[in-house]
Amino acid sequence: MTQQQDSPALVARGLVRRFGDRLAVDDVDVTVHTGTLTAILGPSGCGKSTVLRIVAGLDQPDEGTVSLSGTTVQAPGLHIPPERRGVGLVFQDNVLFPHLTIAQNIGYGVHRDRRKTATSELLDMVGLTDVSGQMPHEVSGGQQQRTALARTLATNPRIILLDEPFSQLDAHLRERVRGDMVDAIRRTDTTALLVTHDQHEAFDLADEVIVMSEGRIHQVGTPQQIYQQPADRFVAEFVGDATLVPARRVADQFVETCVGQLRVSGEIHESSSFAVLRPESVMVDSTENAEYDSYRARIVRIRFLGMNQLVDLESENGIRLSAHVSGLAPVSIGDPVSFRIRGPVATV
Amino acid sequence: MTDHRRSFSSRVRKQLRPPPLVAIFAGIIAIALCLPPLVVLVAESATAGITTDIPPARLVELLGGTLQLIIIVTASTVLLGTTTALLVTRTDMPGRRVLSLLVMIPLALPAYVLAIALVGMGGGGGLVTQFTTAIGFGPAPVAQGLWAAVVCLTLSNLPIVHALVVTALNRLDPALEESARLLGDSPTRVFFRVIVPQLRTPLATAACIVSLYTLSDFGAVSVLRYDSFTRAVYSQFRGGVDLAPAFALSGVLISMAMALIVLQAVLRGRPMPVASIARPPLTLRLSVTGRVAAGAVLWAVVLTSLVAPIATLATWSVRGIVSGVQPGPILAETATTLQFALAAAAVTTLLAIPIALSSYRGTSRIGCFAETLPWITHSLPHLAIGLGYLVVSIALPSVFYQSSGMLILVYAAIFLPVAVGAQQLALRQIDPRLLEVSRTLGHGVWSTSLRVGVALVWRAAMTGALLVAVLVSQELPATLLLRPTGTETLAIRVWGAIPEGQLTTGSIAAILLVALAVPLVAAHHRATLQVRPT
Repeated sequence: MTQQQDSPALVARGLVRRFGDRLAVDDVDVTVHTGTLTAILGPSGCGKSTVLRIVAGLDQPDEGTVSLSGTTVQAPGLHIPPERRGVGLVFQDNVLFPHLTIAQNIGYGVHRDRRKTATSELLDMVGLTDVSGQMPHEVSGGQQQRTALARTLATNPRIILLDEPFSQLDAHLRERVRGDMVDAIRRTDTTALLVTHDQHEAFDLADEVIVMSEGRIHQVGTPQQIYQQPADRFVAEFVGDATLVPARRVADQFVETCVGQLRVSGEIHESSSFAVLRPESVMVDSTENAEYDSYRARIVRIRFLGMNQLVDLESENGIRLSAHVSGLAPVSIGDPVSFRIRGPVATV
Repeated sequence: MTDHRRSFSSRVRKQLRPPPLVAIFAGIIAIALCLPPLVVLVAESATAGITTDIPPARLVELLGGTLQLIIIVTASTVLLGTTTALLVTRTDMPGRRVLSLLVMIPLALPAYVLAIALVGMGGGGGLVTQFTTAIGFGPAPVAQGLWAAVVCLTLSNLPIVHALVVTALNRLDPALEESARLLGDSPTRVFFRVIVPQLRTPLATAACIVSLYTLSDFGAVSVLRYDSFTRAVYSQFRGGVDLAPAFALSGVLISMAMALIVLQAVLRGRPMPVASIARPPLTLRLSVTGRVAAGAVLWAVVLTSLVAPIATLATWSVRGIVSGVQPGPILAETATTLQFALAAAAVTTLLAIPIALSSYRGTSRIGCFAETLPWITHSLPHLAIGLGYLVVSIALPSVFYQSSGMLILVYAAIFLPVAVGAQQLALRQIDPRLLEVSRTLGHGVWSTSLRVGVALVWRAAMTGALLVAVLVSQELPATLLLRPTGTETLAIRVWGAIPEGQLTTGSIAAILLVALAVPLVAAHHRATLQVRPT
């Protein structure tokens, strides 16, 4: 087992996993570079948790290989058991050992000689020293989640796997616990692979995002790339609000649509036939201020978000799209407005 | 999400499936331990049914008497138990929680202990007699015959019905009753149109269990001299060297029991009220008269099923001690009882492990079989089962016949389901992901099983062992048939006390038996407190 210093923390190639007739994971490649946080983003049941379980060694793929820091742990005929992979796993509802105290939970995976020092160090780092002697059910949800993370970090894993770790928390807690956990992960220079169905979480935390659906990978990229240059219709519609309108290439960087000629960011692929209209590229104005390239529409729905409002418009030529307006703008349902698209837009 | 979940849990189950060796081991234990008496009983009673002629009139008399007892006891227990359950769950009676607990405590008293207490109340030196003569009514009658048996078995089975109905009532969705009220029904109409229909299955189950217990009871009918089937089987057994008449009667006994067991199994498969949100059910506000009446019912139950029996036994014990009863024999019997109870508990708990492991997920066929077979042996009247084991022990090499080891194995066979149930419950509560987390934290299969699996099941297994120990200490019919010559236990002392006119020593033995059950009640209470979800 040779370890190369510069090899990525995780390389998975060609993973396939079948449950009966169903392909849960279909030829998936995942690379996570050391010291980074990667998120697998996808709807429920897309196979992302299965990928995580395969990496942890809790499930075996039908095809494909997994190597951790250059050491192959999964290949045809080779399966290193989970306890010898040096992989940490944090579940969404933090599964703490109910018969052990917070401190004992954290020390569970540490060798006896180092247990005492490692436990107190981690208790201090995640701010749980005060409750170290309590049982898991006696502490709050956020504290339980931090215990689960500390228990995993205590074993110095090569990579830490997070399976929807925040989805069980209340909305107001989620943001804070998320911050605490990422701080702890970054401070210990731990490499992490997060699985989530929440794009805000993925964008907020991850250096790189992998978008998955029905067992296949649709796109790999930075959060900006995923949002601004979606690879296909699924990514465009799954990530963020978007209206897709038919588009025809008329020149380099330009397409013709039912809302005018639009400038395109990036390349226009041969197969591209839709323009992706995000709320931030839709400019709304009163009908009096309409310009030569404006279209007319009516407001059909308003979602007040505080700082701004998300309004749904239905245009005279029958398309429906969302736009942001100021929280102070006096809009109401049924109001006639004008809008135009400020490029560039993505095409898929 | 659900689809995702399902595939997830099926994967986990596959991963946690115990190796086939464990299931095979479980099957062997079940067959070797629990099947022989069933085979013997069926074979012997079939041949005995042809060869012996029990007078039909006698059979009709026995059947009539037994059915009469079963019907009256079942009806009165279900009515009374439902009433107490409703009073403690659906009214604002002050002190209802404590009262509910007090109603449940007699669960730790075997029926024959209640019976000897009832005997101690009437007659010459009886406690009730002292009271009735003081107010000029003359002596109370000595408790014996049908009505004494009805009172004894009703009080003894009451906690079972009470517990079943309380559980069922707490599981009803209060929203259904609220909807009925909003749709215009009065509380009384809600009770009959909404609550009673939902209680049908639990009530039928309760009736079934009470009928089976009444049919199987041997100790109480012996002490109270009521001519039922079990008592007739035993007197046939004592009467002669030929076991055939005893087996012929046993055949009828186990057929009736088997019918009730099947019925119970069918009922178990029917949907019970679903556990719903943790919202307190609608309670009826009682008027002052209502409170007095409800309080009177509950206190009367507690008084007759718990306070009076214990007071009677205590009084007779004190009388015995004052009159200078030799403590030696009773202390020796206590020691014997404890030895058998602890040895049997240890053996039963060990033998239960493979069965619990192979059956707790309900996925393995061998596991299911290994769980069901002991349950049948456990449910059949222990007198008949004891007779079966007696024949088995005669057929085995002579070291087995009337040996302590054989008796301990029989105890293990009879009480196996108790230990299995306790372990299964704890196993089912283990989140399989706890084992996975342990694996990713660097612990291998064995280390994980020990540090997580065993650690989490340990307490429940010990509670199960304690329960087995108490049940063994109270077991009467099998002990009576299979004990080594000269070995006496507390249960046998209580059973034999009345014919020998030894009410004082019998009471002391009964009190000691109850005292042995106290740690169990405490442990059980603690265990139920800990299981409560957070």
